[in-house]
Amino acid sequence: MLQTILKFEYKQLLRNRGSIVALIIFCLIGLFCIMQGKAVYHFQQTTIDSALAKKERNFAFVQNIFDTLTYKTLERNSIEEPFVLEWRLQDVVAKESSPLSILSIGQSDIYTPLLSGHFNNEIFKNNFTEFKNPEQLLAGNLDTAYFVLFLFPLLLLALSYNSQSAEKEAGISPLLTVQATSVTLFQLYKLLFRWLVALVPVLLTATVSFFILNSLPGFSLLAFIQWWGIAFLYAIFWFVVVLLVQKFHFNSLVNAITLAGIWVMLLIAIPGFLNTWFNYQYPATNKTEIAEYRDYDYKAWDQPSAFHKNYLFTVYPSMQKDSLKLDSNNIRSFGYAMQVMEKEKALHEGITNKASAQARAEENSFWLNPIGGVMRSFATLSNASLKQQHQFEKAVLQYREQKLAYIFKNVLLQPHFTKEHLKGMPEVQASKQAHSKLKFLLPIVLLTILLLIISLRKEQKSYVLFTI
Amino acid sequence: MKSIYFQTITNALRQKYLQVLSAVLLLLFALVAFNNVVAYKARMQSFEKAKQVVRTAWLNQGPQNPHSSAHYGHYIFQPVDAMQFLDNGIRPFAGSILRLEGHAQNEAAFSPAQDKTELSRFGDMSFAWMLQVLMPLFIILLCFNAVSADRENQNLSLLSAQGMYNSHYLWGKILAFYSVVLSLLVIGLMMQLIAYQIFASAAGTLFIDKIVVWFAVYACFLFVLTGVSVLVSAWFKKSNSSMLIQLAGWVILMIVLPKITASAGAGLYPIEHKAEFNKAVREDREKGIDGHNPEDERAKKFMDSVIAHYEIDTNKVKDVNAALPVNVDGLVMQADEEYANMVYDKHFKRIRKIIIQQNNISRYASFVNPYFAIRNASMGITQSDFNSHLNLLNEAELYRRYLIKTLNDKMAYGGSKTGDWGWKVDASYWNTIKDFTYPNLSLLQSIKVNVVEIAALFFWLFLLVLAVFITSKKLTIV
Repeated sequence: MLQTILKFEYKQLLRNRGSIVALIIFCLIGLFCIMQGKAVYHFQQTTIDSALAKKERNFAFVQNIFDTLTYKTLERNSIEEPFVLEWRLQDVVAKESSPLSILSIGQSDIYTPLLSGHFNNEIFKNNFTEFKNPEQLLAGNLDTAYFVLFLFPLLLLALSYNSQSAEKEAGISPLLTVQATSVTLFQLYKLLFRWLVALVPVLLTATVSFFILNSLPGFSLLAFIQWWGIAFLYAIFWFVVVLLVQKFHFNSLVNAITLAGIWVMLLIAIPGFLNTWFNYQYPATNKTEIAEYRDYDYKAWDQPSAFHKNYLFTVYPSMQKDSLKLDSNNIRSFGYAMQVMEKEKALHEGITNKASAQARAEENSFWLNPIGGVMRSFATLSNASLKQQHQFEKAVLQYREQKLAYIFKNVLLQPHFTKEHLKGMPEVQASKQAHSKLKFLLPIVLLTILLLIISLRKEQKSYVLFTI
Repeated sequence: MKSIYFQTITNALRQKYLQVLSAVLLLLFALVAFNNVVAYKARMQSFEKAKQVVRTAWLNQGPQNPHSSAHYGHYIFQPVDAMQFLDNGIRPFAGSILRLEGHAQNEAAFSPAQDKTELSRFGDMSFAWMLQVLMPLFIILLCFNAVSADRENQNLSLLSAQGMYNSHYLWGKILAFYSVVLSLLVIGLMMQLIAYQIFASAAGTLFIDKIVVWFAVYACFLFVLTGVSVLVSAWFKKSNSSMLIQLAGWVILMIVLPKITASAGAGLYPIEHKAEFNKAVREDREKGIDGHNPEDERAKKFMDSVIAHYEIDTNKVKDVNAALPVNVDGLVMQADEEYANMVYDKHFKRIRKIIIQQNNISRYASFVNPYFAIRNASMGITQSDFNSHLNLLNEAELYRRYLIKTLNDKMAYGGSKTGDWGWKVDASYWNTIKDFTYPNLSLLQSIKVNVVEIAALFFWLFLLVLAVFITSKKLTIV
């Protein structure tokens, strides 16, 4: 029976020019989405590569200075001076970008992937932020995640809104009921075929994306499968939605209105309203912290040397015994730099805590906005979530703090800061924290199961209705 | 036409699902009114506080070297206009804070979107957004069978037999449905204004002329959509087909096309990398005077010209710096600033031109998609478009130049000597430097900037009248 239905549906599909054109257009949009993601990814990668190449050049240049350094020249103080050394190194830290961000750009076009690694170049300076067109950001990206989340359901709805009602309206449903096969199964297979047809552009996009992403550094097949697995789960959700609406046996028009209404509610109205609510609950404040930091920085620099000395010896009591032997200028600079770093960390913590509170509240709202959970899973897999950005920023702050201590300690306690010290500089410790994607998907999984149960329970009743 | 008008309105009001949809829409208008007005008030208070914080910090610097103050700098925050409770436009994506300092011209940084998650890309539900995106959907549900239903139930044949003019019939339908839509628009706007009056009237000033024009462009946009929806219903024999085509049109015009247009803009006019920009600026600046390096060749020449100007005989005078009545460091730094200003003007002009070229695609696409016309015109009137942002950046840069020049002049002519970097002005000096005044575009300026979009709306009106005329000639009764 299945074969007969599929053959019939296939022939009907081939006869329907509108559906064929729609499929071709959706396939092209799917490919365009990948190209769009690829363009954003490559722009970012070029920025990162060029910054890292410059960093390497600077490091080689500084290393060269140490190679030719005799430690007898008058300039040696300026070479070993921590602030000058850092200025020469022009250190920069890049966020690890995932090739999957081609599929879900998310906020990766807004978050900065580069931060200064200079211990005294505060995170608020944001020197590496690219020029952005706000109007373009407002319109958003047409990426694969958008294609799957927004456009796939539309194609499915357009193909299947009348998969049952058309027969009733054409007056052929009594003919079907006298057949020996189950009407319910017949309808299910019909819908299944149309669902599979709607999946064609998605599958094509998935295949093309595999060949594009496969060749990129950092590609993970597991993450790729997970990404498309979530997309498939989402496609099943919409299959169940259409199945349920059909069980109510509306006419084609009401089916179309109902399905379009569900689409608008789930993808436009609920997320839009929740966003507005969260913006009200967690308003984006002006970053007065930045001005606060500037004041603190200037005032800290103007503090007397004794103040900085005391601060340093409170943190490193062991240095106190050698205090007379240590360079007083460097003690002052070390104490000052540490205080400013502490302040920067505290202010950054305050800013990220505010943003994280909203992110947590959003996660709780996934029971109302299950599509939001799918979007968060995509962003997490693509290393483009707010949490991952905050972790990157914190890792950079930690690295800068370690570097600050390392350089100053070696300059203060060693006879000279040498090439070996330069080689032994601390490195950025990338966050290894695992990010669960499953908890974001729980609402949509449960909703799918719930809708499926309701559909099955309505099955008996629908059989009677269908025959009328 | 009168009978068609009243009969259509009566029928529309009897429809249960339309009653429900209207009630839902009005409820959303009310929720949005409360939510956005309160959010606007919070933004306004935050902006006022931020402005006060930086000004207080500036005034309380105490005795300080003017050039240290130039490095200390000043901050400009993204201003909030009272009209933005209706349409917040690009504000969430534009930099919210701009640092003004000596030697460098910065870009506005830290957009509110930077602190938001990917879910923020679903968009906010502002009143403008509801009118731009949800109201067209309501219009489709209201009008999709405006003519096709009459054709399906033979009413059209009856009306035709009674000698009805097709044009009267179509205009009667359009005006009847538009009355419903316009009523919702008026009620929605009243809700917003009442909420503003109750919760936020103290926070800012609303200009009645801007509200009237804002209302007028939306009234025009919604009239076009109502007309098009009725016409599509006339073109298709079946209500089903009319509905599906209109829904597809809504998705393409309101959801997909804005993204494709934005992507096309970025593809056709790519913005250069910041690193390339910085390199170009650095290379150009190296050709000028270095304000912080007295050993610089051009700085030396400049010093010689100052000595010549004050007729100091270097052979007779022991200490040239002491003999000069000015601090040459201040003059050199100002010369450096003026050269740097030319460099920054050249390079920023290039970047901004690219962004304007990108945005021009959606501007001119207003003639294809009225959504672009209303989106851009609405943002323009509420001062939440890119042009208003650019206006802020330009005004802020003018202020930076005034600020740095004042500080350099103080350094040069305030009584200090060349090389005396420890010289300080007293604490009361900071009060003599005027504060930044936030620019406010007049309604006329906003209209001028959005003349293409407003022309597009008139073009759509003309097209609608033409289409009604043609359709009335070719309307099929059966």
